Amino acid sequence: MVHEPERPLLDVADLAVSFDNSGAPDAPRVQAVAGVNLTVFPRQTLAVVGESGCGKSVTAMSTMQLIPTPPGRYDRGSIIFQGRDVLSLSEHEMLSIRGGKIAMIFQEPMTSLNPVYTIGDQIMEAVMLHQKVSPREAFELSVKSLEDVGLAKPRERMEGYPHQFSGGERQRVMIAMALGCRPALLLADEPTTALDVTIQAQILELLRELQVSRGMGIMLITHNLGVVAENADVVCVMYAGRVVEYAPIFDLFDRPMHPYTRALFASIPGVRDAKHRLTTVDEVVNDPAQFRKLPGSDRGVIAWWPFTPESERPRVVAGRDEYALHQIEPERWVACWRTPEVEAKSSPRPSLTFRRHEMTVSA
Amino acid sequence: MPDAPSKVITGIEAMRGVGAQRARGFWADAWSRVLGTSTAVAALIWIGAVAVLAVIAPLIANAQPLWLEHVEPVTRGPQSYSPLWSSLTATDLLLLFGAPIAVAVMMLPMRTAKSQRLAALIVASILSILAAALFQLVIGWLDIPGQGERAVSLRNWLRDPSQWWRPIAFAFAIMVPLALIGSLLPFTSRWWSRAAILIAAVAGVSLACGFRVSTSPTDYDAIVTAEARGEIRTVSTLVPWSPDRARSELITVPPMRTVSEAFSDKIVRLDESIDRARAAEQRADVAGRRLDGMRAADDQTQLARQRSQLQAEWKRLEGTSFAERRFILGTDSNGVDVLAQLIWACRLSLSVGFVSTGIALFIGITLGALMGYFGGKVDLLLFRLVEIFMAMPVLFLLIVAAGVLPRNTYVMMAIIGCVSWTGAARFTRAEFLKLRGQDFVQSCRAVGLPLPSILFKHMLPNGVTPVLVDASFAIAAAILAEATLSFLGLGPDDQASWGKLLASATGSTGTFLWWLAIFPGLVIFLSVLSYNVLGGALRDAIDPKLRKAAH
Repeated sequence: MVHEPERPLLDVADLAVSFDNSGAPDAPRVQAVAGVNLTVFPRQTLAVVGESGCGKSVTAMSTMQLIPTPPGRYDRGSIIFQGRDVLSLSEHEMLSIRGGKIAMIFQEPMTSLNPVYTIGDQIMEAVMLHQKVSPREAFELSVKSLEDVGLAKPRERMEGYPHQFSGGERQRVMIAMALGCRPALLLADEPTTALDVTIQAQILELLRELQVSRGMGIMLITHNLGVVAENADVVCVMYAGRVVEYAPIFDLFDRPMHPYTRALFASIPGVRDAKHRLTTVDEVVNDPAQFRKLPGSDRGVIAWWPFTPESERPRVVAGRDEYALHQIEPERWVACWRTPEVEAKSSPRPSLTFRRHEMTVSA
Repeated sequence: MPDAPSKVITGIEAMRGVGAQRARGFWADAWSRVLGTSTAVAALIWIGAVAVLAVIAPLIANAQPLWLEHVEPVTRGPQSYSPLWSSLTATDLLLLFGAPIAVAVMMLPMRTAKSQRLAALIVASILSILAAALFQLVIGWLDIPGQGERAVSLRNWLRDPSQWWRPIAFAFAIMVPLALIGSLLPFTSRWWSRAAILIAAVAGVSLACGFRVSTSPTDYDAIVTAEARGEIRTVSTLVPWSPDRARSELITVPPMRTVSEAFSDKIVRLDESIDRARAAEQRADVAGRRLDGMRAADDQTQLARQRSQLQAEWKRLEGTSFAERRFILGTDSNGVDVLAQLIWACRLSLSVGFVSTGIALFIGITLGALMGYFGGKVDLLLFRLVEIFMAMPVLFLLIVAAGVLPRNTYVMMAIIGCVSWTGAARFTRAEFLKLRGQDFVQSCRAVGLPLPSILFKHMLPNGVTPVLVDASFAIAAAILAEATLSFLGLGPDDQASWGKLLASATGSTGTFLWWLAIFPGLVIFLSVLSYNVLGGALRDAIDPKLRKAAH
């Protein structure tokens, strides 16, 4: 079988976004995202994992140009969506992309719906905005999408106001709203944080189904490694506005390579662990032994970490960014110091077409 | 002990949606809260009464008889007709027919949402007002003498009595471009309902304006004379006086006097004056002051002449229905009935209040929304504009404008509206600054809604509360501004006004006429109080801090 290299749905290349911190023009800016590379393919779920403030949401918001400028600023990079650079599009061109081609589910279900309009009004408005349908058809489409997300009595509840819905129901309404326009890419910013576990599973199952039937790509932003384990195809671990590890789900969970990724896994308490105290991320990343576990650490391929003491840092190529996303294996990228050895072997930008459901089908 | 509920909705059933009730909308809920306050209901009743009076003023306070019938068969003209009907202007007709239609549209059960109906009515009435005003301005301009030949020929073309359709076509020509502009406004979602509403407005305004291109009121004094001669019988309105009909012999009549009582009062007073003059003459004679005596004698003859004139007029009117007409609230120093003026002035008060506040809200909300949403430089620049306008003393500006610009209602409304928008702008800005960071605004943007929709459809209803409360106070302030101007004699000179009445309480003679202070003062007081009470009730109804129900 001859494979034409598949084109990604979303291709974020070297994206850097900074924010004005004080209003003074020459004051230092906060670099929220500093050169992020990632790709999402159709029917693929890319999980973006990392702690609060690592730039996950800013990356997602940037793909819809939702960062207010000022104070925000796109310093460099491009976001290619369906062959067009989103960052170069005008506000008017963005209107058809937002909601219509890229939809977003926000993490705050309690406040993400407008309290003065009924649920029906809000879903129908979104549906009619991007699809040429009559109000009657829009009503039916909205009922259908509410039904899809498992809301009881959707037809009756179209008349309800947001305050009549519980948090989980509101989140499902938000998801129904996002999916009602049949987007090609769904940015899910912690979509299940507010939901109870049964609903959470149900929603993620629904997202998977839609992903297959509509060929939708999903960027799943979450803290929850359990959700990642069950749903993601490719995982992108971020820290401090940079990608620290990028790998297919199973590889990453089997063999986390970057000390920070290992730290994340180590800090999850097991049910049967009888520990006096939990392992913290710091304990792992402050341990030099962890850094030596990276393959090739003896040959100058050393994991990048912003808090490595100056004395222990390797010699990096002068005049360039000290950070480099190094392809350590064919399907694995790890953040490394830009040592001459790393610089010598040029790494392509991370791009993985892996999808778990296709693997099981073919297996 | 109350009966226990027969059935309890369990948690499981509640989860499945059993017992779910249809919620009322945000505004319906707020409105029902307002209606729950008794003072607000009283205020609403007062405002409603003023509105009703403003609409039906020509039907209840009019010197033109409702119906006129010739006693003997006439050879020319109709045997009986309604002089009142033929004296109605285009504005009167539009109000009299438009208001009931509007009320019916709002009250009747229809499938279209009430908010949409209200929006459609507002658009239709704004268009109608603009078109009618424009038409009146054009016609009024043509009627001013010395406009050149072209204007004269246009006037003759319009006024050709055999070609009744010409003024209608002219009004239509004015209305159609306005309607085309109006069709761009998104007041209903369906194009055909939009078209129907606009066509109805166009047709109504054109017909009303065209038919009433010039009113031909029957000569009022002729009616009185004919009635005195017993040639005609008339049926008059409830208050048989117009605010623009003055009778010099009936000045400063106190309340509750009929015409004949007013005459006899005057005659009695004249008699007293004559007696006084006679006594003065005698005193002067006794004292030997010839000059004073001659002056007193002169006064005496003059007063006697006045008395005989009054006597003759009274004789002429005695026994007619006119003589039995009552000045319920007296007359002012021009001999115009006070009650009729109070009723007709409802129009000025309401229109000044609502139109100027409408203009202020339009400017204020638009600028405030932009300031609040964008912040930064936009905010910085526009807020300087707000500060400039806040520094303008409205009253002095109005006084200057009254001296320079034509003294009519439209100019007054426009000026009050154009300088009093700062409150609305500041409140909207503050609300939008608060709202723009909220998640639902973010989510509106993520859905791809265009900016006007985000600003005015989604953010505005969430932040309009303080603006509305401010607006109801602004209406009160506009009414006061109008009353103040009229009190200072700078109001519109062709219209009855509460302030103007109040000003004539200390008439040209310098005597204090209590009924001219009490009644207009009371009406102004009640109106301003009503709007303030309503504003307060609205604030209490919507203020989330006073409401426990969390959203």
